[in-house]
Amino acid sequence: MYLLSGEFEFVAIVKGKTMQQVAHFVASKLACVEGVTGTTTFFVLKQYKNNGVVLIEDEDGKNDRLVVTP
Amino acid sequence: MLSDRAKIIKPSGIRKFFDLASQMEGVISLGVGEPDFTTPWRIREAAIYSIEKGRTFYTANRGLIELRREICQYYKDRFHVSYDPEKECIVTVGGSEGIDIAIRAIINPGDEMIVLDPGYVAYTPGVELSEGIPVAITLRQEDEFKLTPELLKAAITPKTKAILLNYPCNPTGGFMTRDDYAKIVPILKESGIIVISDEIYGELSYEEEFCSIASFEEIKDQCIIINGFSKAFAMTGWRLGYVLSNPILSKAMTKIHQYIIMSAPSPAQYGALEGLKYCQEDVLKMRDSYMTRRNFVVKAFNDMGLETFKPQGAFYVFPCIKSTGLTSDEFCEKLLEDQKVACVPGTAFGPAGEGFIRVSYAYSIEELKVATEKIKIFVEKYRK
Repeated sequence: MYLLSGEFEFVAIVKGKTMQQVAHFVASKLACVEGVTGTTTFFVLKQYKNNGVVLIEDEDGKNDRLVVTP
Repeated sequence: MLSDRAKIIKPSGIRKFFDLASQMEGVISLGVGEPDFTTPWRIREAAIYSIEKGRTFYTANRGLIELRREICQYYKDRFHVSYDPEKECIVTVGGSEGIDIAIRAIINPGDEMIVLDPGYVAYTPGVELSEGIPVAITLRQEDEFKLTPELLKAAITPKTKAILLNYPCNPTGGFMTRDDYAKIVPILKESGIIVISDEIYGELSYEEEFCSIASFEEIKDQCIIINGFSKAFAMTGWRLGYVLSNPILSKAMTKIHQYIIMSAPSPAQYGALEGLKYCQEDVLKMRDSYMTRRNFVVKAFNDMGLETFKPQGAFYVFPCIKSTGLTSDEFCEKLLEDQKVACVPGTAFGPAGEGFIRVSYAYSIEELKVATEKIKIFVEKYRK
């Protein structure tokens, strides 16, 4: 959880197995915390990059294997 | 300056060829013994997370208990063999360490150990480093490089302490089905010799189902199973394997392991734990991809007149090149000079590899198409 500048006060990153699970967490745990006046939820649909690592499904082909190995 | 042991072991034939190939530019290699896939992201992320959380300490000598539990559960579910995670499992630095500690734990100077020829490059030196005597069984192409009861019987002497098996096989792609094993199990049982079974390619089995030799209850106690994450989970660089055996052998191997290694790297162990729990689907996807490539490569070599049987496992084919009139070494050196394609001479895996080359198909179909086209041109030029 982070404190932000700009339009929103805080961002919390929530991981769940399904959208339903995340929605349930937001509704039953987050929204009812005293002082929380509203929430906006953004679901991650697909991850393309993580910490500079490109995450594409078909990334075989180019790699740094040696030429000959046992 | 050097010990006799260091002098006696020969440099790997692979190394020599690596030096040749790596000096040239633009080489298309079919010489690699590792997957072309990157480790599934989930495994990478779990290892990163473990570092972020500061899980950077030694683990138990035998490895994280959670990982050992998963390994034993996995062997039970997948291959129908039960081991106790507390007393019968050691997490090692790759399958290679597993082979080393297994041999060291059982071989006395002068003991004979049966190795299969052609076979993986590390087995014979491993026996020699323990001052054991490697006794090679020459496998035959007409048997698809399987170990037959006749060959096994002929090799066992009163001095035989153990045999080292590796099916699916690197370099031949040879495979032992349950029926094949059933023929040799009575001989192993009667002789009482220890069976070290390197099952690192077990997950990469195709039409036939993989059979772990330890699933024969009557010899389970004689078996030391070596496996790991390198091939199935595309984790070669992580160096993580494991050894399963009865508690007496396991205790002896743990003693050696604790002095030479202490414990396998902890981030790799956390990654592997995630892999066993959640990445079986990735394993199957990669296996299916290898199978498609195998079909392509086997056809390509047979079409160009180099007899190649269809292997049931691993990611190698072992084409017979005798029809070209060249030796294995000549074939590979000339192919490299002529077409800039690197394969490994069969002789790098033992004298019985003469007349064959090892071709890895851990490459994309596009790469395999280009490489086999070039080999075809080469073969047409040299065919008698």
